[in-house]
Amino acid sequence: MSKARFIFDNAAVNTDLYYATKFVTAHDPYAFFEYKNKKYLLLDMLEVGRAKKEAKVDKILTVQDYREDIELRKGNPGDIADVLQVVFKKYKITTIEVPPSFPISFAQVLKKRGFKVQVGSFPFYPEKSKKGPAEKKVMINAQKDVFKLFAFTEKILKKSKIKGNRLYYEGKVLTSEFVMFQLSVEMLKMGYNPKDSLIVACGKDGADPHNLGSGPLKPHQLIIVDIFPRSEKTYYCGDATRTFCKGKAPEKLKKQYNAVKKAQEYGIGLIKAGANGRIIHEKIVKYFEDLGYKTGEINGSYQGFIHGTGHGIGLSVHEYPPFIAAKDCKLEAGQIVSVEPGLYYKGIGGVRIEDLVYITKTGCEILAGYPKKLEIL
Amino acid sequence: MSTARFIFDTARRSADLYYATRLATPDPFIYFEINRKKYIVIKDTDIVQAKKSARVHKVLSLSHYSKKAEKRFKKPSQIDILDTIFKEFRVKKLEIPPDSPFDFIDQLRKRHYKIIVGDIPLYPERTLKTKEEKKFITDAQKTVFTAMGLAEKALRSTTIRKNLLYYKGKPFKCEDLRSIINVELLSRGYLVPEGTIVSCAKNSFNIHATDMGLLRPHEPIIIDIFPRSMSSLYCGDATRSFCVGKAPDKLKKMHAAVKASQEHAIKNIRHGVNGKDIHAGVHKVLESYGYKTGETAGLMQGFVHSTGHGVGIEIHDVPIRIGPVDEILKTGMVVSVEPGLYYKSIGGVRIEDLVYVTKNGCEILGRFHKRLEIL
Repeated sequence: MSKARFIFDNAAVNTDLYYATKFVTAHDPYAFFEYKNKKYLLLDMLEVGRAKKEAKVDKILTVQDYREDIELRKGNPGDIADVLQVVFKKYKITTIEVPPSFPISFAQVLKKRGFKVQVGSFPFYPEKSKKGPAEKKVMINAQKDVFKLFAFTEKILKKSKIKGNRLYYEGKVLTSEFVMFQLSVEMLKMGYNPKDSLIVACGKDGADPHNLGSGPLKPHQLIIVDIFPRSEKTYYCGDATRTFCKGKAPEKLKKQYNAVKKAQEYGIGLIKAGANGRIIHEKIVKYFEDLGYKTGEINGSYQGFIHGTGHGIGLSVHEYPPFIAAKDCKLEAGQIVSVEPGLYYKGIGGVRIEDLVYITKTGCEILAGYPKKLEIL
Repeated sequence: MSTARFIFDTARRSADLYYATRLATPDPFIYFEINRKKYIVIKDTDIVQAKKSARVHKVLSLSHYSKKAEKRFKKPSQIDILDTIFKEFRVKKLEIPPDSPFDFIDQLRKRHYKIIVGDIPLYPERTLKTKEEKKFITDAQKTVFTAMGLAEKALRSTTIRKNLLYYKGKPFKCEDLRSIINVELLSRGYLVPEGTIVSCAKNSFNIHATDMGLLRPHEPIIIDIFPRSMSSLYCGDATRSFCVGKAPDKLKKMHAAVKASQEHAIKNIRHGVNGKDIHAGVHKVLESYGYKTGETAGLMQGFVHSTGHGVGIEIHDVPIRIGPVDEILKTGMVVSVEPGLYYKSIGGVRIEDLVYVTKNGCEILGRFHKRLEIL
């Protein structure tokens, strides 16, 4: 049995494919296979020149090179499946291992042509979770950019004036939408994709971690700002959260904020290679409980620390494994994870503080850095 | 035994799902259609939104079915929950989109569901645009041209110094112009999922240039803008080619040929016509201007891509294409018409508009001039 691993997708979307080849074509999917420890690309002639410069593969095959034979045989240039059939035959490949998300229709076509199709692991390249020095550097830079956006957000909040229960910025009522728009513009200028990469949620909205935020931002209330853009140049992501309060914060808010801040620092202190994510998560839940912050159903809705402590990140914002949550997960050196405990109560609002850390044998390193200060006066 | 059309995806990813439901929540939800009745099963946090905007027969609660599944399964998986839903609705046969995940569908097969792999689009009528859809695309196209106008204005305000363009005192880069366009789109509620193309000089030879670099005078500049509305989820798509300062004759001639071929194609598009013939017609016009297409020095040069593609919820609304294959155009389709010429030694020229196919011809959506030189 000669088995090849095979992906046919758009590398800007399929992170396993990008991980394997480091090559993106603008809109179109392309074929990639790995066979006997060698990587192959099958590309349209238009893309070959650039692929030769950029793609980290062993061999680049050109679709057009196979078309002539197919045309002689079939009377037409054939489709990608015809080309793949010829290529796989040439390399004596009989079994094809595909990612679990592989399109069913394509799998059927390959089966019909006599190939055995097997579902591979998820992620297709588990080693993707361990970052090399170049990846780490790129992600530190992304995180630095994220923190520039936090400084930008703070500046807007600082310049805003409190009038009644509204904030005014340059004479206008300050809203979640306004801040998100300004941040999106900054992201674009910095080369990041602003799509689905922002939460600016105040008060009640912030008490629901799925709420992206809308409407006026209010003084003396909690404002969660979560920024997680993907670079359009490197394709890697940054991700951080800070919680602010414009104007003096009531004691209750301060107490909740400090609990989360300490829990996050405690969590970071527990992370190292070999640690179990589940145990770290359980320790943080316990830490909150000891401080009097309970998690569970209160008045019919789930409140307290209602999400996981952290997730892996890299070419996508959520890259699993690793995760630090209810399930067992052994952390490994080289992985980058978020550490983002939070507390959410309907009457008060939500607090979340998030940083990314790079796991080492003896502990972890925080990527870039930014102060954790609640009040903006 | 009833057959259900079934999609489990996010509406932002699956155009068929959005077309069927008009619900665009960011998280995935379950959708099925039995006997022309549409159902959604969605998590509790999205139910209010779904009841408000989904154009379906019934919105059902996911937590209801996961509780129901708990009676049969210990810790119900997605497949267990689906099985519970389909049992209740007596569904045994599923028609699914062809890009459904292999692994997921295999698991349903193991539960003895009969699977029929449908086509793209799962709703073929999606290629024929309703009045409402035509308006969404026209709005998007108008926004594209507003951004195009802004880009042209920025180019006009540059000064030429040697072989560079200066904008606000600094050398003007492709990415600067791109960012001006993208910020304008964003402020009008449009996103650019796959980026705006701004390429110049020899870089413009590569039709997929995401290549950055400096903008230069007397060289071809291609601007291709194809955003998606955040509210309607429909796309616009247009391309213009410019040259700041006097254009060399070679470039002028190329631009004239592309413009003539585009106008020729638009003149011939109408209901019942074969896209293959339109595409051949474009080649013919370009050849009449002396522009050949083929392999030169190991590179494909000339008119190296198709004439057009369908546009709708997706920027490339599959399967409609005006290219070397048969495709009978029908009233209600919206297609791009975008011939181009690309030569390694000169660069590229492309001109693109969207048209709405009618019985007797086609309507161009939005308007923008096609002048090459910015003097």
